[in-house]
Amino acid sequence: MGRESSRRWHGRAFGLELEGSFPIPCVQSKTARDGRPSTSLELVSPQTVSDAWPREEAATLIDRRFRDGRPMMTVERHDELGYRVSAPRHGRYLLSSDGANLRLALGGVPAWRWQRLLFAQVLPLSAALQGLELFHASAVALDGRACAFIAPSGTGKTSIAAHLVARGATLVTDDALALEPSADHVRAHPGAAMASVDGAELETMTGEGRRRLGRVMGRSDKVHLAVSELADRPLPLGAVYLLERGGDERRLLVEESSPPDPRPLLSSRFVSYERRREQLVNHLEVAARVARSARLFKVAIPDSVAAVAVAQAIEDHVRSGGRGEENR
Amino acid sequence: MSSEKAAAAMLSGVARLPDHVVYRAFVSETVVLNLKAGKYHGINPTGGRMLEVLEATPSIRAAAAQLAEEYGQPLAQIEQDVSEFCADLLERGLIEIRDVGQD
Repeated sequence: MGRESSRRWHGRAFGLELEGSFPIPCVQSKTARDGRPSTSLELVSPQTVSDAWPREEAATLIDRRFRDGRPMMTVERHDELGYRVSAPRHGRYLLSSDGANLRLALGGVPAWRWQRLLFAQVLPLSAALQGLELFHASAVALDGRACAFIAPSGTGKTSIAAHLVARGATLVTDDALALEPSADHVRAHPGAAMASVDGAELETMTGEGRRRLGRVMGRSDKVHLAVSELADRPLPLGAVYLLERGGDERRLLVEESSPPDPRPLLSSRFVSYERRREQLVNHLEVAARVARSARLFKVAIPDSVAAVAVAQAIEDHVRSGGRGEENR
Repeated sequence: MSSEKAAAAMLSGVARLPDHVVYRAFVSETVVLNLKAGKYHGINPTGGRMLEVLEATPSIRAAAAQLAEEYGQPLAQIEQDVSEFCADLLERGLIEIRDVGQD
């Protein structure tokens, strides 16, 4: 028992304790357990996943395709067996209905590819099934608190977070933020030490900034980085920045949403395709807690303003204690 | 039915949230979620307080009495306000009105 236990790898991401027979490179290894929701990981063959999944009995929750119709990613659910998440060249995953057991069929896929799907879809789903609430947000740690960025895809959440990390902040998560209410605040759990960044944004960073951000693992439409430093523990969520591009503003404007508008929080569920009662209620509860315990700021970003300028404005805003408006 | 009679009929009932409706208080509004329809509804703080009191009292009339005392307002006015509030929530499928004793 002791020897078996000592060969198991333990890590932590998205508020989950992870356990498996192999390490996940971009997940922090942890030895201490604290009774958190846990997910066990098992490597299996692609054939095992195919054999175990009764496709005709499963419901398709997500079916994303490329413009030419080729499958990009699918998420299916079977009432008893759980979920199958698959993407060509990114692996296949079978997740139990309760999110606690995960089988990975990686089939020789490069590490950056299967980790990309693992962190972008599978582990957030596992966390959501085990009671954590996942928001579609990136987040960094500044002055001991987590700052989250909420915005529609393509607005620049990751770019802004990446520039902040290049400037000295610590990454909390790239795209899915696990939040959990505690007594007097909401805790932001670190995700994985991986970020998918627009290559053009990397070009605008200094050499030191790129080194601080991390090393390149792979390239697709984005550059996939193993981030050098990830927050090593949950942090109080101090601020949420709601990013809006375009609009009528001609200057970058940061202003407090006071009273806080719940709508951006309510519309930011990450696992939006799962709509079980307990999950919707949990999201409502966590959104209410965020609105009461963290400060919400709206950031109006003209199209002409680059992500690096937004990052600097936000850093200045945080360092000033979130006082006043910032116009650039 | 005149509005006065409708309000009187409403006041004699009990307001309860159906199982598929939940709500949480945010800073300046209460958000009500209809789980069946997947829709969120925002109501102002006064409405949020009305909802809390309606859930906790044995009748709409009793809720109005409590709220009138809380806000220091004439009972007749609060009874009218609460009746209209309940009618609005009823129309949106966010509450059920039952006869007293059916709770």
